[in-house]
Formats: sequence, structure tokens, C-alpha cells
Amino acid sequence: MIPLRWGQAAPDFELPSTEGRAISLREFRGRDVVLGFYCYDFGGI
Amino acid sequence: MLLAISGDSPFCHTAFLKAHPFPFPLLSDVHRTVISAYGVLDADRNVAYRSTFVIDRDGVLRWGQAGDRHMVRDGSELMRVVDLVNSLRQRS
Repeated sequence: MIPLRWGQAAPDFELPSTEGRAISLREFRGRDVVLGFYCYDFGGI
Repeated sequence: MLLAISGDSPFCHTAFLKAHPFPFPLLSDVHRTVISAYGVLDADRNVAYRSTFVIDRDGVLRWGQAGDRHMVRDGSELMRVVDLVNSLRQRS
């Protein structure tokens, strides 16, 4: 696993999404991204 | 851009989004690989900790915060963080 470091490249990923396609982090290069992890659906985001 | 991630399935996410039409996509990390890569797996419950990361437009990890399920996320504070990240980025 790549260690998480501030000021370094954020770990890239590609995951299925509610857009009906896989979304990757790298496709947002050029835009600020906020990742919000949460426990589970219907539990409040 | 806001991306929301949990370990729920796409099926569950679709139902959740139907009940709560959030203006951002929900991503399914059923194998917890991304949750683990960002160090926010609650192993006891096998779910993500409620946590937030800011990644700048160059793909660099700039800020993060992790808490338990009761942590309240403050959108205006988050926007201040994003603004600060950008102003520091422009100066460097």
C-alpha cells in the first residue's frame, strides 16, 4: 500500500458510482476534489 | 468536486440517492480498498470512518480529517480549507 503523505500525490482509485460508470480520481485533475468517506447509506452522510 | 465514498453496493447507493437526491456521485468501495488506502477503515465494523480529504487540482493530498460517525462536517470550514490550499498553491 502506498503511504498517505500530505503534500504528495493522493492515492488514485477507480470505483463504480451512481453516475452509471466508474469514476477515477485522476479524471478530476485541474479541479479541487473533496473526498467524503462515510459509514453507510441511510446512516447520514 | 465532491465525491462521497462508502462500502455500500451500487444498488444500495442508487436507492439512497433516490431517497436523498444529493448533487454529487456516491462511489462504492465494496472491497474497502480505497477506504484502507486512505487509512480510514474502522476494522471493528468494516466500514469507513466519517472522514474528509481535500485534494488540490494537481492531485496532491492537502488536508484531511477523520472522526467517528457522530463527527459533524462543516461545509463552510471545508470551503475555507479549499481556498487556503489554493492561495498557498499559487504562492509556491
